[in-house]
Amino acid sequence: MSTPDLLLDPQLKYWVLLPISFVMVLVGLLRSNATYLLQPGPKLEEFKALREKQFLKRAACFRQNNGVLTKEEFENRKQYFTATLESNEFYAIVEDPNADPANPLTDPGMNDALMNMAKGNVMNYIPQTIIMAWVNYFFAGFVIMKLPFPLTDGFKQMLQTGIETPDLNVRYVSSISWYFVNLFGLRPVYSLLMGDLAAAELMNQQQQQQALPNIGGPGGPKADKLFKAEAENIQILTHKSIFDGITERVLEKYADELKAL
Amino acid sequence: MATSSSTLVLYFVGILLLIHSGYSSYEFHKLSSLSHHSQDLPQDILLETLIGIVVIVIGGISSIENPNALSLNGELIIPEHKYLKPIQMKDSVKLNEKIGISDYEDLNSRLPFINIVKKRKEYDDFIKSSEQ
Amino acid sequence: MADVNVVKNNFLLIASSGSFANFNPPQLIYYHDKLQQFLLSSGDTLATVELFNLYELQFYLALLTKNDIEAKTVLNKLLDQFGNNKKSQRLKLLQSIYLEAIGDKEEALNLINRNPDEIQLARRLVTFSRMNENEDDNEDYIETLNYFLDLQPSDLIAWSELGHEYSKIGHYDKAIHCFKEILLQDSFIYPIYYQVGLNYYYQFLQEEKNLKTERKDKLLELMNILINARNNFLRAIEIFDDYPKGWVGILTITKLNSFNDKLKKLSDGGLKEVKQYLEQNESLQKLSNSKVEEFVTTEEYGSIIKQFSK
Repeated sequence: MSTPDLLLDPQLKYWVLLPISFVMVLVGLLRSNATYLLQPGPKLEEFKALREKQFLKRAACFRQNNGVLTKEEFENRKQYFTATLESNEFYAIVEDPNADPANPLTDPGMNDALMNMAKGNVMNYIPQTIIMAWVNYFFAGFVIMKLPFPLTDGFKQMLQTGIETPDLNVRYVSSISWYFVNLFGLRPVYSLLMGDLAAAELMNQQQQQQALPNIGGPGGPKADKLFKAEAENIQILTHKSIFDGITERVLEKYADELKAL
Repeated sequence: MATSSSTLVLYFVGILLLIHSGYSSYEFHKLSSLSHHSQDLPQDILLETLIGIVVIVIGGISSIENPNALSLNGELIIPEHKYLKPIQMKDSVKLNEKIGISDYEDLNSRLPFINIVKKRKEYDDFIKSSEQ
Repeated sequence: MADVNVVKNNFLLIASSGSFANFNPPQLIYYHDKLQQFLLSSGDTLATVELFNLYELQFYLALLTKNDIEAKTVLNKLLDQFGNNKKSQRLKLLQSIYLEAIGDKEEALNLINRNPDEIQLARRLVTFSRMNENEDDNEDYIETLNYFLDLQPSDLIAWSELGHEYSKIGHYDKAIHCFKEILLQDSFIYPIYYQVGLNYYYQFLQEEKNLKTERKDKLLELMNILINARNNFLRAIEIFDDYPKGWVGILTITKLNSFNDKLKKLSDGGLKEVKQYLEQNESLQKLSNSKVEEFVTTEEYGSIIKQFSK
């Protein structure tokens, strides 16, 4: 230890370090509860839109799993799918080709989605800005702790934002840096405190993976494009049935047992 | 799932060891910084930490034991593998098939389409015939 | 005695799979009593989600064992907990089933007949076109199911229901079409392969009965149906080696002696494909015989073979 230690007032721990963490945890909890309250309940999807999606899913499944069919069944279904996908039978909304393109901002579905996005963002940014301002106002330029392990100089910018001492050992952490460390590092603490919510988040992710393709929603492609593309895909399908040579496969698998009989 | 008492004991012992070794190393560092001799950590503290970690890991592994199951006939089924579930489909469906409810039972039971009136009538008939 | 967790998982599995819909009356009584006891003794150790899932099961079991008062109590418990959520389709479904069971069909219909976007309820609505007393007269029901499937083309349970309905009235080709529709969406459902095979087998029985001549092309047609049936059973076996139903299916098909004798004549006449079929049959019969002896109990065999003698 060549450079002498900077002596930190132990009271800093109780009056700065812990309060910042404590306030951030509390605000985080408050925020997640508020977001939960602000979230609109799940809305029922219109059955026609659902029908459109399900049909598209069915067509996609046919494209992927057509091996379970026999030759004849495959040809029948292929004809059916190409014909139906090219007609507008399963469209949720049959659009008038001559109509003017609708203004996306007047579309209520679009508005809802925008509103939700805005709400989420507001709930994310406002509390963070307020805490950061608070930390900056009261604890600007504080050195509040010393890390118990050495670090390279690369971390200087990260750990000593807000204090202008180029020669200070990197192990000292400034208040605003402590705020950032908390901001990114508190997620596990939240999930521990809220318990079920973490599980719910996981569920959400899983649901999103299984979700049907997003048709006609904001930013999503239009149904007719998707249907056309799927029809083309199906048209060029070649068929190989899993039942071809299945007896041979099974007999070969059990060849040893058969010999023993 | 089922945390048995042996798992809890293992966790407890492991955490105790870790805390103790942590405190020992803290004391040691305090002492060495006071006396201005920088020394390596004594072997026994290191060993204690390692043992603590190993004990906790063993506890963690034994806590993922597969639970037993009960078949529809009321028999207790002990899973083939004590830890971890089989990866291959032909092995993984075996357990539920033994229970008597296959993984795709909902396609067979078709609960949303249940004919409640008929099922209740069947039950009535059964009670009547058994009373006679 | 089995510990609480094991019993709980058993109940949860029954609840989530809905397998109680096929229970016979003694089973219903057994599980109804057992669940009642279980909820009394260890209901308060359960997590909330589990508890209410089990309440739902209790509701169904009570209704199926004609304990209407208990069913009503449980339903009220559920309504008290979630009643402020007017949007819950699951609750409305339970209410509707309760009303239907106690004979108030009109009110049951009213409850679910409000919003076409409520798909779960729309599905239940389909069953109102069924003759509940005489299920075999199912023309209307099939029509409604078809209409529903036009609206919800990837509802697997509805496809399965339609397949079973077609099978009931002997339209085996249509039943096979429905089951194949399920396989297209998930190609590893081995019980459905078994169903497809079974329906091919029924189709074979049906056409064999109507067979008057022993013309070559007719026999070949029948053989192709059997090959289809056999292939589907084999596929089920490929996915799940120890599938008792699959092995019994193969064994049954390979043991159709009178039909095989007819084919024998053809193969002696020099038809290669027939010869190949018969040869494969022979090895498959040996194999399936040993497999059935290996892990299918007599009791199980009896219950499976019942499905084959339609």
